[in-house]
Amino acid sequence: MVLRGVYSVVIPTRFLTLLAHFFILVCLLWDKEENLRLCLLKYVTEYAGYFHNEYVISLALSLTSVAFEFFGFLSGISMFSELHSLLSIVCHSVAAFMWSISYIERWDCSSPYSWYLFIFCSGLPLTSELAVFISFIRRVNLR
Amino acid sequence: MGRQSVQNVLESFSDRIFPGLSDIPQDFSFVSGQSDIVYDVQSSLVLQMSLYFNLVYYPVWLAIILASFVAKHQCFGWFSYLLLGIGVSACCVTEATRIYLGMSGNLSEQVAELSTFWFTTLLVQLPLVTIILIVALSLSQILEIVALSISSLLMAVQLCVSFTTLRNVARLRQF
Repeated sequence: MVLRGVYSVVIPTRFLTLLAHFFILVCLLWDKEENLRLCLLKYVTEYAGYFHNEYVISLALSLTSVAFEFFGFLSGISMFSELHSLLSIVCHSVAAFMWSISYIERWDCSSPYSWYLFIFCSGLPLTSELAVFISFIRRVNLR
Repeated sequence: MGRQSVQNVLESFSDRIFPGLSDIPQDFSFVSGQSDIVYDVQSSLVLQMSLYFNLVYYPVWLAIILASFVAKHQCFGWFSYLLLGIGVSACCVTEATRIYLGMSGNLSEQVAELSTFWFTTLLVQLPLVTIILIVALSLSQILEIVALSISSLLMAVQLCVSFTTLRNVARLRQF
């Protein structure tokens, strides 16, 4: 069983980048008290709840969209569309790198980088995935 | 030539556990002359996909396991560290052989390879991964916990699907 042509590269790469993004999100959510400690010590208590909620909600939304895309990939619906796979590979690898750098460099939590990462690196592949889903459902219904 | 010797070893191993297993024909010569026999391909797509993604995931998993093992150096005495090292290296070697056996057994629909794959996954890999996972949980090494959880999820899928595949393949070859 050898995948032909461009899919022999695209499918493993997409699997690994999706897995890496999922991985880093799970690790960040697991350790949220540790990661937020520096941020929460710096700001007064009234902002602490806001930063905690922002962290948890953006990570949870990203995780849900990555899980949804993983399901679409593994069930085969969007596995063989080249454009969507390329977009997904680029977005998720950028997201995995950015989250890792934000963890290592200890970025300040006052800048809303987690929302930007959610919108551009999880939201964009999610909309593309939904478009592939809709075209799949249309194709199945027309038959 | 190498594949034939692998199959001979596996047949003698499976025959010891299931006597009579090697009487099952390993090729499709029993259908010669019977032109009205139709049979379905019994290779499982789910099993093949999970094994392919396990193969793609293997280098990542290996790097994480070895790095976490090196990071545990301060936490154990020398004897426990040695035992853990033996477990980790056995885990790495068994994973590679298991994936190879599963892929070739599924594609060529051989009972011996699939049964060895199933037994190796259930009786060797699952306890080893459970032990390393429990050690990682007690030390709260999140990277290793997540990596091993993904690996055990893939193994669980492979165990369930390869059981029915093995039954179908053995039924197919039982003439």
